[in-house]
Amino acid sequence: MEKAFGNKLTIALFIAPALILFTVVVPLPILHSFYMSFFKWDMLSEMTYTGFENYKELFSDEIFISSILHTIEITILSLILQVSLGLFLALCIVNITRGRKYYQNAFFIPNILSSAVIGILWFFVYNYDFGLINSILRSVGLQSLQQEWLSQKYVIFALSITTCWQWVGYHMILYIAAISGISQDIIEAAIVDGAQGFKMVSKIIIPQILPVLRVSIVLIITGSLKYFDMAWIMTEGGPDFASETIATYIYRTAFNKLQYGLGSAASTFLFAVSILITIVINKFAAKREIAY
Amino acid sequence: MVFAKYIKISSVAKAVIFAFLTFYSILTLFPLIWLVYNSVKTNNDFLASPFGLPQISKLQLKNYYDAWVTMGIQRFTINSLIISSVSVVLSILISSMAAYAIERMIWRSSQKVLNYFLAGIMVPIQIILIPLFINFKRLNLLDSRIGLLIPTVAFALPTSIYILTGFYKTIPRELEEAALIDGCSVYKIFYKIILPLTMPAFVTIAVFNFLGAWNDLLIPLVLIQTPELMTLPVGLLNFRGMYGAELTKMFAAVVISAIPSIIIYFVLQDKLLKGMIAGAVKG
Repeated sequence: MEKAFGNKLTIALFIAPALILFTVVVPLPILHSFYMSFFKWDMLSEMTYTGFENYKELFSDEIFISSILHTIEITILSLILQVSLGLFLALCIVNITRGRKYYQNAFFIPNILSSAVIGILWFFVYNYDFGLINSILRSVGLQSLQQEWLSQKYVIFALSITTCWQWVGYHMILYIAAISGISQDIIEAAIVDGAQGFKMVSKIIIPQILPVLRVSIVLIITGSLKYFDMAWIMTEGGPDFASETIATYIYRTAFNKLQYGLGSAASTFLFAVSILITIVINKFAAKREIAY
Repeated sequence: MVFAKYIKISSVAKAVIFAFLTFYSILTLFPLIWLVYNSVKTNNDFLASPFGLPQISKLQLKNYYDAWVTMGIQRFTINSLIISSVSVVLSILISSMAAYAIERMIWRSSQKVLNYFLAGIMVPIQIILIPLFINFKRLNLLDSRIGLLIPTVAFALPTSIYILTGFYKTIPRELEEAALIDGCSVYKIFYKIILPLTMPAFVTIAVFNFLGAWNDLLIPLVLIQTPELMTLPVGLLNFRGMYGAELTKMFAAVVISAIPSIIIYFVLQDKLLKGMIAGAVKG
């Protein structure tokens, strides 16, 4: 056993394709990006070393600063909308038996659609003249409530609503799985102790599904950090950069303006933030769990 | 799923729950229904009455024909099928070999290598796009299927390896020991015994990775510029740029590109949900 399964050559042959492919596509480009962030380059002229110039430019660029703020706004809105609504839907669904499949499917379906489909659809849902929302408002006589939903004022909120539509079913499914996995003994004991309704939820269910809640919060935060698809498809970061996120900023800088060095600096910043947040969440969540 | 039996709630509460769920499910599904029934209207009918149902006598099924044949959705669909299928096969092959080596073979750094792959789950793809684009341009891999496949497969590896290592843990050692005594080589054991046993996990991974590749926007957006090679998501955006004024035809195109995902979901939803929950609860 040891001899056959410990053969170095065999192990190398099995692991090499994945290891090489992954290393070439993920870690090496991250290093390359870091390296390029110290140069000015448009791919046509020579690369010139500029030290920390790109980072200085980045943090004196108002659009980049506002893209960080928009990304934070989207993250907070997504956390509030998706966790609370997802948990609420999950709690409703575990309490019923009839029609359960239909409701689960209905809420989850948006999640399997491509962001191109969702982005184009919701672009029209929000359209002022012939969009779904305004035409419903008109047909019930509430013309006065019509809005330009993708305007500077509402665009972040509108994007977060669309993202919630896309993802809430996913988190709901995770919560349903977690709640269904709580051991019967705990539930029975809680019932004997008189836990009902809200008390049951806050004292028993939420503490019991905390690990899954943590996963779902991590997924929402990391997903929001790289928020690109909806912002790019529906508004291209506009109007007037009102929905520019860190990710659309990177894309625009590199692929529209051909400022590869500056784009790499922004990428490196995004990478650093992702790592930092992952570490913080893991530390924080580990402590919390011990407390319970 | 015994939860509902344990918590006793009044019939009034139950009615409220049903009413809320029904209302909210209609709210969730309505944008899709609206999209579908507008895709069979004429453009003018849509602009005149975006909320109204189409008239049966004026059903524009021609929108679908135009989108599919004249406007190139057919080509985008074929491209998406090729990229998604090939990337599924490659990712399954490569990740199953790696997962088997990590979980079943005996070597010191196996856990470190596993963690190395798993760290990839947290990497936002935006970070690698610029170097990828530049290097692919140098290597003449822009605007090519191979160029698109490389990152698509690579980004599918971490989750696939994670699910498979978990699966291989559950296969009893005795199986391999017996085969070894019978004179099988490790390669033969993997090929003849392990791979067939892994089929259920492969289906989960296949659904997962297929939808991932099918729905992906950013990688093909950066790497593909010629319409001949565009996948559906990028093709749809390109379509919007070219035929943006023919709204109902565009709705038809959007519906067409959503159909495969929905079919896959309804045929394989148990597998998909299983993979999703396993993939998320890696803790």
